[in-house]
Amino acid sequence: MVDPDPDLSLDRLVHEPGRLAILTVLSSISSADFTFLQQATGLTKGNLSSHLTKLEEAELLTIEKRFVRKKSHTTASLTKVGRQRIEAHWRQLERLRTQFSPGRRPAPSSGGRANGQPPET
Amino acid sequence: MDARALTAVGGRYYTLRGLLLLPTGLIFLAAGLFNMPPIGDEPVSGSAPWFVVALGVAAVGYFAFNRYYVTKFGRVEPSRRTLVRITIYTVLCAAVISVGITLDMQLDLPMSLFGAAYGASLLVYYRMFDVLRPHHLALLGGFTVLALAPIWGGAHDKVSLMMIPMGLVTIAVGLCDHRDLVSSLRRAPFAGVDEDVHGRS
Repeated sequence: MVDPDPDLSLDRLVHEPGRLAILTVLSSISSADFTFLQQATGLTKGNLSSHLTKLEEAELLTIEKRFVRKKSHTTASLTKVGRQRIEAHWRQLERLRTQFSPGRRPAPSSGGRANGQPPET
Repeated sequence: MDARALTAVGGRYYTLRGLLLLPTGLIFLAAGLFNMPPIGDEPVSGSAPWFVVALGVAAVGYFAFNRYYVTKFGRVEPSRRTLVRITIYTVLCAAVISVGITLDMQLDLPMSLFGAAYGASLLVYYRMFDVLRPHHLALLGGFTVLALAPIWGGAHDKVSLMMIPMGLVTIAVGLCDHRDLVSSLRRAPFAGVDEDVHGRS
């Protein structure tokens, strides 16, 4: 079995479309509540909740829950690690897009890692 | 998936909650109308209660619209950098508009610098926060041109008179911003597909 080329690898935790959307939305703001994230990503309540839990477990974001008039109110914000991971991920996607765009030959693998970020594959 | 659209969605939402402009427009409109005849001809004790009522309606409206946005679309806290930019820019706008008012009251110019400063400041604000839309150019641009037209010279109280079209334009911009925001959020989902946590559609 051939080892995957580290130059072509993607952070799978971040790359999943729902989680990528959540992290990208949060990357430009301080925090957002559950309702807004649902509006912005189009995910169902159940899936958004599952993705948030998974991202919180990976310490990419922090979740604050409080009760307002007996209703649960969830707010999410990126951690420093989460911000670095999403930025590195978009840079990696852009690099791959440039490298494999039509009319451009793929560069030989250097064996290094993009942006110094360890991709989680 | 459009990274730029996703990155901008939070900031756009914070800036384009247009219904929050309606109370501001109402205050401008009330200030202009209640300083003009026939109400403006009455002693201050006669017109002031009307303005207080307008302020009350505007306050209740602001609270109701804010609650509507939070309930329907959620709450967003902008980054500290964005908040600092908004604060600095708001102070600068207030300073420019104050200069416009002062010049309008001291010099008998045929145009309204107060109105022009307001229109141009809002245009620059929308441009700075990357949410400038054609309706801003049409409404605010048109208003700025109108304010600079040499037709305001003979007015008894130029500043109050200018507040009437200013209020109407602010309300129109707010309604268009709100429509733009709702349609942009309707174009979601940005995630493309609603997959579960295991990647299944």
